[in-house]
Formats: sequence, C-alpha cells, structure tokens
Amino acid sequence: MFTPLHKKDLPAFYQLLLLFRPEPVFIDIYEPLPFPSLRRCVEFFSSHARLWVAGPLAAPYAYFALHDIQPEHDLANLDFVFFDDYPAPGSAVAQSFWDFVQHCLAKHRLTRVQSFALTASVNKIQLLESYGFRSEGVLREHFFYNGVLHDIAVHAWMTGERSE
Amino acid sequence: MSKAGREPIILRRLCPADRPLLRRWLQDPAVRDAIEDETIDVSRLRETLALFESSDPFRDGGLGLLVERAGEPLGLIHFVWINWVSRNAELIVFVGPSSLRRSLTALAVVEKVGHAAFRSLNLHKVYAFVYGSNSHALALFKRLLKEEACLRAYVKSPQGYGDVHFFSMLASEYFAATARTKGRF
Repeated sequence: MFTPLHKKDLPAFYQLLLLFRPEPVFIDIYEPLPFPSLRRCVEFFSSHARLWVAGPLAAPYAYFALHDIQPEHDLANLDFVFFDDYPAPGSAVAQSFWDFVQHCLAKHRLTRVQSFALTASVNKIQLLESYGFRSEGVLREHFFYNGVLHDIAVHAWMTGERSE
Repeated sequence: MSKAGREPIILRRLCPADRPLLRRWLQDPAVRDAIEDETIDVSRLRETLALFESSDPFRDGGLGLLVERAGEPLGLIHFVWINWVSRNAELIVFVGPSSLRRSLTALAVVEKVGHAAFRSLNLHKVYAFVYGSNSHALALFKRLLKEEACLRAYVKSPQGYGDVHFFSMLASEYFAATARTKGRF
C-alpha cells in the first residue's frame, strides 16, 4: 500500500504538495508549515524524516511521515494527509494504513508518537482517536495559515502507556 | 534615590563578558535539569554560551537576554524558534541566584518575558516546556501562564518516563495582566 520516497522523488512530491495545498506539514510544535521552497523540503525529508506515499507514485492519494525521530526517547512525530478525504474509522483503508504505521513504529522501536492537527480537521482527529490516540491538549492560536491563526490539537499514541 | 529592591528591572543583550556568570548559573544542577533538551546540552558549555550570545532573531530565530536590577544579574530569557509568520516563540527562562527563585523576583523576571515578547518583538504568543519533575517551575508557570497540553510520558530517563507540560501566554493575556498589576513590577 505504501511506498517509501527517496531523495530523487522529492521534487515530484513537492509539486504534489503545491498542487493539492493540503494541511500544513506538521514537523513539530515549532514548525508547522507549508514548505516554502523545494530546497527546504528536500533538505528536511533527506535528513530528518521518513516519508511514504500511498497509491501510484505519480498520483498518490495519501502521504505518511515520521518526523523528528528521537531514539533516545523512543518517540517521533507522526504526520499524514489523505488528499481527498480521510477514510472512515474502521474501514479497510483505515485499518491498512494503521497496520502500516504500526509496522513502521516497530521497525524504528518507537513507543510513543504524537500527532498535530488543525482542530478544524475533524475527520483526521476522529481517525486518530479511532486508533487509540488520546488528546493531550490544544495549542491556542498557534499557527497562522490561510489568513487565520489556528488552534492545533495534540494527540499521542503509546504502547501500553509505555509501561516496561 | 530609589529604595533597595525597587530599582527598575532591565533587559539587555548578552555579551562575552557575561560568560563567567552564565557558566556559574549553568553549573547549578537545578538550572541544568530545567533547560536541557534537544537544543541545549549544557555539557557542551561553549556551544551553549555561543547559542545565547550569537542569537539573532531575524537570522537564526533566537534571542538571548540578561535580566538585571541595578547592575545585579537576576536571570536569563532566551527566545528560540521564533516564527515570524505565526508570531510565536519558545521560551527558556531561569532565575540565576537560587535564593531568588521562590521570591517576587521570579515573578518579575517572567513579567519581563512578556515585555520583550509583546512590547518589543511584537510576537503573538510565547510558549514553554516544563518537565513534570520541576515542581518549582510548574508552580510558577501555573500562576502566570496557561497550561495548554501535557505530553504524557514524553522524556525517557533512568527513572522512567516523565511528563512534559506545555505552557503559553498570548499577547492579549499579557496586556490584560499588566493592566491589572500596573506598577507592581
């Protein structure tokens, strides 16, 4: 279902981001941003993150990324966008996506991931909560996007609340 | 002549002459525990001091300021990750002398954060991360800022996983608070 993207694929991916103008890419609390340039997009995804797309490489329907992987704390930021609409919780597409996410978390030995979403992204938040993500708060007026300061919802998923 | 302790508190940029003072403060385990994170590694003292000194808010998104009263250094305010589009920044702040950490001076230092952020830099919001284990800072921040999120079991240490609390202050909240407390600091 998902294909990892490599450095050579990033210019096409960046064009896709510009074309669809999806939600901002949530690198972390500091930098939710639409990438301002191809150079920064390539620079970031080449060194600080892992990126996958779902569907044909030329016309994917979703992307999924792990940002700011911190092995010393076994955690990372999880970011994903479905370009058309988010799959319904419990649907085959949603389950397949979550299975893949869990596979990646196990591969990187991550026991906690946090995800940031605009509070207006109701479908995305419902999907996160259907996977067991718990709300950890709302960052007020945190991100200026499309002319408005938006609130950002913070959700996190942990393996058994990280119990040993 | 002003009364002792009532002199105005001022902010100024850090300079190389402040290094011995900052070294002394940063050797305090309470300060180290409070400020160390991905960006600041106090064991690499030279780099940490350079980070505070070389801060340029328009080039690297950071700004280090020393808080003083009548020439006596009180604390450090460091804005990092200044985002000029969303107009927010992360805040690192500590009171240097341990005897002042649980006094009104600590409140005054935090008030100066708002002064710098909202009256000088024209930011919309400042935010800070506080470790759950830092009970003094938690108590102070809960009085002055709003807790927006608690990142559960976020940091890993030999003692287990610890929470990180996310606090913030909006410019509107700062101006409302200073209108209420006018003249106190």
